[in-house]
Amino acid sequence: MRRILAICFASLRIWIRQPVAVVVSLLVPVVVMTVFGFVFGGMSGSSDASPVRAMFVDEDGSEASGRLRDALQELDGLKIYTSQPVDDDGEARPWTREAALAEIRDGGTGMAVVVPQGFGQRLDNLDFSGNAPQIELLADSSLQIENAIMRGMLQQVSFMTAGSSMASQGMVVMGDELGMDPSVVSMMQGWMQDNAVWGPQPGGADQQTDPATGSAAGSGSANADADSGGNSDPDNSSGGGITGFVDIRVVDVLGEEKDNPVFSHQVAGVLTMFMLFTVAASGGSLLRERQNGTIRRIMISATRPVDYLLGKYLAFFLIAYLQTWVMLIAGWLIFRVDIISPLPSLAVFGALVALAATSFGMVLASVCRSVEQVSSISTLVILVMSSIGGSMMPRSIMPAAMQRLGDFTFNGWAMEGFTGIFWYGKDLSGIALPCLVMAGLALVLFAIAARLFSSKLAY
Amino acid sequence: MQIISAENLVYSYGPQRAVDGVSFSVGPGEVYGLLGPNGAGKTTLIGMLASLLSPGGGRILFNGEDLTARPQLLRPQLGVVPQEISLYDELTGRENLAFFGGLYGLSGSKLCTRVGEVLERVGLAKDADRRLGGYSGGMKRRINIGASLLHQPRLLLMDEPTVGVDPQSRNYIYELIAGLAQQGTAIIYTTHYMEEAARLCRRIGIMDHGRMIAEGTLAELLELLPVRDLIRIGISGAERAELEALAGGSLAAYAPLIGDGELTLQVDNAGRSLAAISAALGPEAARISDLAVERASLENVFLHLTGRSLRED
Repeated sequence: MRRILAICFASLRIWIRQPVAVVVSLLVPVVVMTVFGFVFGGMSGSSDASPVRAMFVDEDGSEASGRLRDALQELDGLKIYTSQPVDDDGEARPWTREAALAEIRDGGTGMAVVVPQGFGQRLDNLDFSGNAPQIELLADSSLQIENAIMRGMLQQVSFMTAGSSMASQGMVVMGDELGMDPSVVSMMQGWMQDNAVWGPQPGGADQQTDPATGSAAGSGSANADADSGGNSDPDNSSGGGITGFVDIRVVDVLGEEKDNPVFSHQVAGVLTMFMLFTVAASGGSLLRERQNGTIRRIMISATRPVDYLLGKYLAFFLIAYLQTWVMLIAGWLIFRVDIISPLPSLAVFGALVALAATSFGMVLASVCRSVEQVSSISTLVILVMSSIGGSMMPRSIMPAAMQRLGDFTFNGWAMEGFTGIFWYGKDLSGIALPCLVMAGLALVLFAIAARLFSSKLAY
Repeated sequence: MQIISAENLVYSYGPQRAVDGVSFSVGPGEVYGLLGPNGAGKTTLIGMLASLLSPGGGRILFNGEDLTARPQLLRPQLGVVPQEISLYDELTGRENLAFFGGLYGLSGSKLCTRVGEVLERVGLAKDADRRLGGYSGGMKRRINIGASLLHQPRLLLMDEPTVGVDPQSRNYIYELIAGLAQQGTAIIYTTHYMEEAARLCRRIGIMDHGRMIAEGTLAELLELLPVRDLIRIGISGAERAELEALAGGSLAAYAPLIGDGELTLQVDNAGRSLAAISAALGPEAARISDLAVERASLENVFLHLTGRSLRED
């Protein structure tokens, strides 16, 4: 027992005398937990959660569409844009279907609620015959979580918007079926309106369908199955409709030919994260060579420090680039992520990301004193950057502050480029900024690494 | 002409002088031993000789040319055998040699030929295509030396090249060094092992606290000692008081050191002193239970010069 305790105490003493080990064991988990908490905290509806953003296209221009817009604008957690950004003439034009589609395809605001022409009229003449008013949700299906939230919000709002009309018309149908006196039906409608049984109705009494004159043709039928309505146009509808007395037809703008949007994001995210781990490990090998005197031996052979660093840089870049293609090909074979049509863009952007990642690995090697330090520090830095930068979870659902922080991470820019290529079908000009950022990072980080590491190449 | 000459070299790490006014020179075919405890400044001195560190003072001449302004002159003609196995475990012995040969500008058939020659020279031709990770410690040491010989350097710096090596490999390395010296390679050899220095080196420099405290052939260094031999005499049943009485009495002329049941006497020549010691002991000579003669060594020289053992850190 004494020996066991002696070994135990000695081991603990050794551990305590290694500050890096102590920090890794105690501080790193706290930091990672904190970062993850902030990143994923946005999903739990905390007050600083980033709102779901959607454009509002009003093709109907009716009172009902106005009510719908107002109701949407009042919802917490939803930001509705009714107008396009101010153009050169200083005008803020309302969103049109075409402009909204272009915005979604360009990777901007990812959703648009379109109220088609005739919505208000159909709502006011609700007849329960399957001819339900329709709302379209144009969506970037890669934003799956936001889409689900948006659908729920639309269901809620459409219920509130159409509820009074539905109840009023329902009273007419019921009166007909039961042979009730029209005055009784009218009285009941008035009571329902006064007591706002179906929720607030901004349009007030004017919006009520006159039960006496209302077109209750086909009365007696149940409310329409919105699924059938939602899928009425299978060519451009992949999301299907949502059951209710207002059809919500989801139109997948970008995913028509894509098998699964999640995998596009996953491949890009995992690729970026593991590329960083790979180059960090490569950077560690520099320190190993320094520790065992190999670098000194190489320097003695009249090899210039910059030649050594460039040789290593090239090797690490090729490893990272190979890894990129292995993962891309795996994503293509396993998840059917399209890498064929964007091949040139992927080749160039992948190379830029690999270059920047390699420089990152070199910087790690230049600031750390041992392989163990590289390992622990890289784990912390990469996990934090991956979570903030969107490798693990789309940045769009993170709190606004974390989204802004993501702009300062390697992963954030790499993901923006890869997602632009994979999902939005952009070419290199479309991802010029991420390309520039990656190229800039590659150069600046390599310069820093070369300067720091050269001093370590001395005897 | 000397291959390399150091003149009053100085190097400091901050306020601390690691090398303080060291001068020495090495000629072609000479093995020069550099002895000193850890922290004596040997590694820093080698760093300057290899032109990896710029001297804070003094100068280094290579073939009579001052290296201060043009350290790159030396590099193509310099080989360094580091104390560590500075090679790649993942590569084979042949691949390691080819890599370092390439760094020295060898290529094609010339590189292949040189790699083959060096593999033969270090006795690893049969194991050339095995990964280094599977080599024994002695084999790694040999290939570690081989990697420094590919470009046939005129000056070879060897930093404790036999640390942790089995006797068989050690002998192989000794023969290798002797062969290189015979071919005219100047070798600067740092070691902790005095017997190595005594066996291999024509001249030896002893460093301590950054200074060269003594330099010369083994015989010249031993001349620095006041005595050349030590005689240890064990006396049966002798108590300390009795030993003290002998040390202060009849044996006082031999500056005896009192040990556990024994006395160590310092003499110039053990063979010529034994009869006199026996006479001085008188009847007590019959109680001698053990007798050993120890020749003075570099260790004694170092102890004499510094007051501490060479192996103390």
